[in-house]
Amino acid sequence: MLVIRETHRVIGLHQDNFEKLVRDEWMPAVASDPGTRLLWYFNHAHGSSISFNVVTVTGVEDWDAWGRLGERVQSGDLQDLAYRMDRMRYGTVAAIHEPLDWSPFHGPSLAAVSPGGADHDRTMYIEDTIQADGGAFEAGPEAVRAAYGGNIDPSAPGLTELTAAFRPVAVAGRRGEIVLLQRVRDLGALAQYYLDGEAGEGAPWSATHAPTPFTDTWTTRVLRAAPWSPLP
Amino acid sequence: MLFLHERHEILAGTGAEFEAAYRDTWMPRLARDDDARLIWYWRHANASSRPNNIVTISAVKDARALGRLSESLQHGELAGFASHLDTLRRDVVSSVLTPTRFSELNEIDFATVGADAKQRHERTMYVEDVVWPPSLDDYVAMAGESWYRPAAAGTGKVRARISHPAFFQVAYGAGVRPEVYLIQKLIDPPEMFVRNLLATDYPPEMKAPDHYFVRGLAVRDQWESRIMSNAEWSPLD
Repeated sequence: MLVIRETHRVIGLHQDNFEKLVRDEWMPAVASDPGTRLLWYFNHAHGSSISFNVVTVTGVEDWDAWGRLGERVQSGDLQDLAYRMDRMRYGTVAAIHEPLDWSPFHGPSLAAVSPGGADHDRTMYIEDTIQADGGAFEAGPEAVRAAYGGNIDPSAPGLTELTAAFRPVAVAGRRGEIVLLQRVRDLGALAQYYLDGEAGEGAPWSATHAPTPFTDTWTTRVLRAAPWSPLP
Repeated sequence: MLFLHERHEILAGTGAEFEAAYRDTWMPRLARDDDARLIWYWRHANASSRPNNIVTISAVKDARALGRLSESLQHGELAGFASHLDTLRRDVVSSVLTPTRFSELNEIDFATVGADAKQRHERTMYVEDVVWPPSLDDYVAMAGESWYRPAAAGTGKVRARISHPAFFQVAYGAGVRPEVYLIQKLIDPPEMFVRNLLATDYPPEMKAPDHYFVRGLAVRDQWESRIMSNAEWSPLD
């Protein structure tokens, strides 16, 4: 399983129409190939950082499926939809990722992912992107695992739980990046953390972790899964 | 055909060793099989823009072959090679490119692409324009008809003569969208490029409303030009 993680810089006036277009047309069209499914649609929470950013995560079964999807977008049945999406955004930045060995998420069976979306409560995530540098690229994932102070075990209590850990494949992305997608369990606890800075159990990477063998820097995004997002 | 574009920010002083790794290991390793080839090794000219940057472009037969290459770099035979490069560079960003419908470089007969570390040709200069248009398809259509084709045919009016080997866009999910790559090879001597282009204001005709440069502002006004010196051993000259 590969995942395409895209950040869309949406034009503010088109925010709602962009989401409708993805939900009503793009998501089912992508799913017409059994090897591809939209998995998550996130809004980058306003008030936390940059405005009008949307993050989508698309699962592709293998490299052949990615190749087919690329051809559909460039010159096939998805070209017009992509063109219409382009009219509603300033651009997108994408990379192809693979789950790390220790990621709880290894990709669901794509056949089990609804091509028409779902209906669930909004879910909040803290997404931390860590840059392992100083030549520690290969050792980075294990170093992050060793330093991680949050919950890899979903049964353990705490502020967040690790949903997925990814890194870009070698040919499409920035070498050395590690992405942690951490589901927020308790909004009140998150608010309290923002207020007092005291990280409790199961805190995300950006709240607490052990020392790392690389420059300790990362970026955090507060993401909110749309209630129709195929995965909550 | 897919094209793996890698931009390496190398550590100062490691240029020769980094280049040797690509020339002596990467190039022959890809040539061992029939599904990928290194085609260009470019040194981004210092004192022009970004320092200590190298761009490599490798042609890959299809998505499946790209997957095998990725696996090899991450977990397989080439993992040690990648780790060695990591000691010589600060960063590397990879994108997968695909030819637009206008691109001259499209399919490549790999049997014609040399991979001998001893091969040499004249040093050549390229300008890689990376463009971020508001609308990908509108830009590709206009640039293809009004800039790429005339320039490639030698009928366009340009201030330095170029050939136009390739016109790429980013493959879905593997980079920035919209992002387009115009690969331009300098035919005139580099001094003409410096004098007539870098050191000269736009001539009046390029400011006329019907000139492509002005009309083109409707579909693009953001790009970055990168002056590249093509290594003498680079498979494509």
